[in-house]
Amino acid sequence: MTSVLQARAVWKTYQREDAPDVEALRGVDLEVAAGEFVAVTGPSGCGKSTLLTVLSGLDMPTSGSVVIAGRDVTSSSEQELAELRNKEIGFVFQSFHLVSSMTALENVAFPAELAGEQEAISRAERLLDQVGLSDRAHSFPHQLSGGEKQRVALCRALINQAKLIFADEPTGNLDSHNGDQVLELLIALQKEQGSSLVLVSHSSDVVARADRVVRMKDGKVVAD
Amino acid sequence: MTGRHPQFLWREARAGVSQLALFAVCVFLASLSIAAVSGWRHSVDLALAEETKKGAGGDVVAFSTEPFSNELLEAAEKYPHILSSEMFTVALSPKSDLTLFSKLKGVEVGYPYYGEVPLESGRNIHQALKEGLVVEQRVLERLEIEVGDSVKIGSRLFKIADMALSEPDRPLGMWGVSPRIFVAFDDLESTGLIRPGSYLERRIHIKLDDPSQAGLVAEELRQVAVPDQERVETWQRPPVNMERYVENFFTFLDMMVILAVALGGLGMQSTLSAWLRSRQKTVAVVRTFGATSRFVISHYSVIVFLAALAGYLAGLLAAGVLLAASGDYLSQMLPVVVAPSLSLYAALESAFLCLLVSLAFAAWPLYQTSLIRPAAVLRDEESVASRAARWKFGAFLVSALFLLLLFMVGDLKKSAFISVALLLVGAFSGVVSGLVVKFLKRSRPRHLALRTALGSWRAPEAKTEIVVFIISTCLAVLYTAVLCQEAVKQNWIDAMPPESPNLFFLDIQPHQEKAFREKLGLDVKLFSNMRVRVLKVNGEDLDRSGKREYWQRDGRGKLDANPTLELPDNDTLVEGDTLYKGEAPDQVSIRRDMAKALEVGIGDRLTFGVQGVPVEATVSSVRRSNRKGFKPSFELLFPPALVEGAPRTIFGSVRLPSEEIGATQTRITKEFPNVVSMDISLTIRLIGERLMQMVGLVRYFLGSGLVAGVLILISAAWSARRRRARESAYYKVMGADLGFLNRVIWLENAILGLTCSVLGLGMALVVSGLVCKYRLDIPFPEMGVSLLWMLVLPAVGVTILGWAVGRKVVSSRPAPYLREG
Repeated sequence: MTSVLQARAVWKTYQREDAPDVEALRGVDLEVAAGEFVAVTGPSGCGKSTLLTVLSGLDMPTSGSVVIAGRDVTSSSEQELAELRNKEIGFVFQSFHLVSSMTALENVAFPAELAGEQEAISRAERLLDQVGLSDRAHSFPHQLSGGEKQRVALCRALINQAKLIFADEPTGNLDSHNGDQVLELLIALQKEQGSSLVLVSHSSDVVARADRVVRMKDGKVVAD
Repeated sequence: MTGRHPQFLWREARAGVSQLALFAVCVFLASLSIAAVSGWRHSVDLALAEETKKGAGGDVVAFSTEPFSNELLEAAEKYPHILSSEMFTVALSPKSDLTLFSKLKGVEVGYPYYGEVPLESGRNIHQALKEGLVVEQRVLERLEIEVGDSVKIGSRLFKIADMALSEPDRPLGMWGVSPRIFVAFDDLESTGLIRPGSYLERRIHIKLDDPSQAGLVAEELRQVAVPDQERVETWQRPPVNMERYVENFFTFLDMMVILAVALGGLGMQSTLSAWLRSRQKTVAVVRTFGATSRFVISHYSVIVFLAALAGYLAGLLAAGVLLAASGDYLSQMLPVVVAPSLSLYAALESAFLCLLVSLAFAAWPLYQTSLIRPAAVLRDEESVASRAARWKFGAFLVSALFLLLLFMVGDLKKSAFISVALLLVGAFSGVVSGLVVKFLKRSRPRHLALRTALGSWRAPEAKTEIVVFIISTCLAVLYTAVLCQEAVKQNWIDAMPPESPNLFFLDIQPHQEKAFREKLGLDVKLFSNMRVRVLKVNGEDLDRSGKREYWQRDGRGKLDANPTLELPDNDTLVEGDTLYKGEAPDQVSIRRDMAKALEVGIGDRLTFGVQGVPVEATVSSVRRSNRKGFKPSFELLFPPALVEGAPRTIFGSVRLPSEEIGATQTRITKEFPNVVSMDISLTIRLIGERLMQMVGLVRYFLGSGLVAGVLILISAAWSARRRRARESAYYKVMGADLGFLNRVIWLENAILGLTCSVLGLGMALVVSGLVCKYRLDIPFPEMGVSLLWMLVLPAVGVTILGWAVGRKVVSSRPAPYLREG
């Protein structure tokens, strides 16, 4: 099976003034296969979210290597990383992180427009329709509920048919009903597009749905 | 929680030091403007009072351009008095063969009652006048002569007996363009210059043992003075034209200051709001632990007061420097020598007004802070004030601004008028800029970076509406002043097209007309001029109860009339098909401005006083003069038959190369000593310089308003840094590169700058176009490439500034912002 993500001996150290350095990641190795759903779990402060930002190229590791879709993230330029994030990666965050000055439709269409996609708007409309938000397409984020915001974020992550989706506690800010709905949609869309999904969560219900579970403690992978 | 907590104050002030600094700069600008104008006004008032007493040359002064009536002379006989007369003339030096247009003043022994005329030799002026003339230095320099040489005035040769170092009753600056020549009063007649129709201002100066009786004595003289011909004033009042000019000058400055302060006030409110919004969580936390609204408002008020105080003191210091440096500049524009300094009165006045303005604009953000609830710890929530509170604060703000205006102008009616004018300017600009910003915010262009840039305008911290309003309003007023000044300059000063005259000949007697033409040897167009008054309109006496200073404008003063059958070159008929109807002699063609002032039209019957003789005529046409170039424009035109034999003078004008002007003046003065030749190019240059200085003042005050707009822009950019950094992180997550984000910042600020420029220039073009057409009655100026600069410069300025403030934010790494909830 081809892997879309390979991380080797990844270390991440935060340096602080007048305080000892913090080793958030301590030699993590991880490989994710195409179409695989990997859940990363562990106690608070174990380095789950740091691992996600480093694996996705949002932050650079102190040492080690991260390869996504055959491209080494650590040696890529800003321009190459931007292209990688735009075309190969999708993100879903706990706090949604939608652009407040854009409507739901504009938020979803934005990555496709950035990629120069002519059909960006119609694709965004189709995705919003799929998640049941066609009537909220022209609403601004502050006019949407938490569940609606996260569904918009899902559509945004998937519009460019990303090979790899990173989701950081996607149900963490939602009630159980909305949380279940969003998870169902995420998994369904991931399967439909054949994307890989790396999902960070505390929830045992979420973890139970994964193909593979990676447990972390003190910046290390303790079980895979 | 009660009492003051200095550490809390200190921490909160430090936490918002950059926004507080911007707030203090706004206060500084307001303080500087208010204190500078207050200082100028105070200094000018003092100088004017002093100058008025000296300028009047007596406790009571009677004026007339006609010989004084016996009744008035007899009434004046009861008091110690002297006579003086002033007229324009041309002095000719036989030694250098040069001529000089100058102002001749005949004075009796005893002159001046107040002040003195110090001479170079140190002796008394009347000793010197027994030997000949006393002249000021400019006469000697321009005629290239010395004391002891001779000059010809009229038909008589005089020796220059001495040089005057100064003159107490002579306005300076643009009011004293012509050099002074003193002559003994009794020698004036012997010059042969006093002829029928000659313009000569005669004065009786009365000195009283008890100057406080001046009002009573003036009233006594007014009882016997010839109405509309003899005028009696006291020293308590400056000359009407001088008083009116100074009043207009300060009204104009007050308007500029109020506009600048109001716009600066919006800067205060905006920066303060940005700072207090950033303290929302802290306020919520202290409220959670039991702090009352009072605690919150009192602590933040102390910080605001200290920041305002720092701004005020810095402004006061800068005003002191500006006042000390502005004496020459101001003296050139005003009829008095001013040595402005920051008086205690000006400092206290500006302290009060600054406090009032700061309080008015700071009250609302402070009040909103007091409304923050403890629940804001858990979630972002807007503190919502009641509708009644909004109205109260709005009313307080408007009242404070009106009080500021009233305090500065000192006249309720004028303050109300200026308030309405400024409100109209603000409302017009606010509505136009509001609509344009709303339209741009709603637009969804296809270009992604452009759409994203316009999207940034929608963020609440962006303050787009207020930035556009302030900058475009300042630009609109500034550009209106520049365009009007340019229109005046092009039409009245630079115009001087090849056919425009630059040399005027005045006081040509009717019997000299033929000889004058021959001697000049040029094709000169001569005009007869009579000074007449309108006595009755349709049989009703003309109402002269209004203010005397407006008489000339209102058609109640002396009007220039020309007997002619032809429509002048510069005139076009606006009512009536021909200048006169048929051949009836009792007709008059009236200029449009006078027709409006007198409320008359075709068919109305007017009665004129022509040298004391009543003449009746019916209005046959109404004309407008385009006033381009320096061509004569007459308020009234009569068929020559109507005023045949009435005293008149003739004047003419020619256009000559500048190098020929001096020789021509000399030739004419030698042959016709009574004819005054006037080179107006000097006067035109002087008027041009004054206009530039006035526009300079507009630039200064509106410049401070523009600075306020720029400060709001910086403040908005600072307060939006976190939001912008977070949004940049989102864009990066979605695959945007640095180039795209930089393009967005550039476009956002370029559109903002261009919107301000287009709105400012557009409004200025409309307003100045209306002013040129309906007020100044001159064509709109040709601006050419300057208009492009007026459009581009502010746009480029705002773009560079906005980019400089925002560029760092977009280059930060996204990860930290994504961890935020």
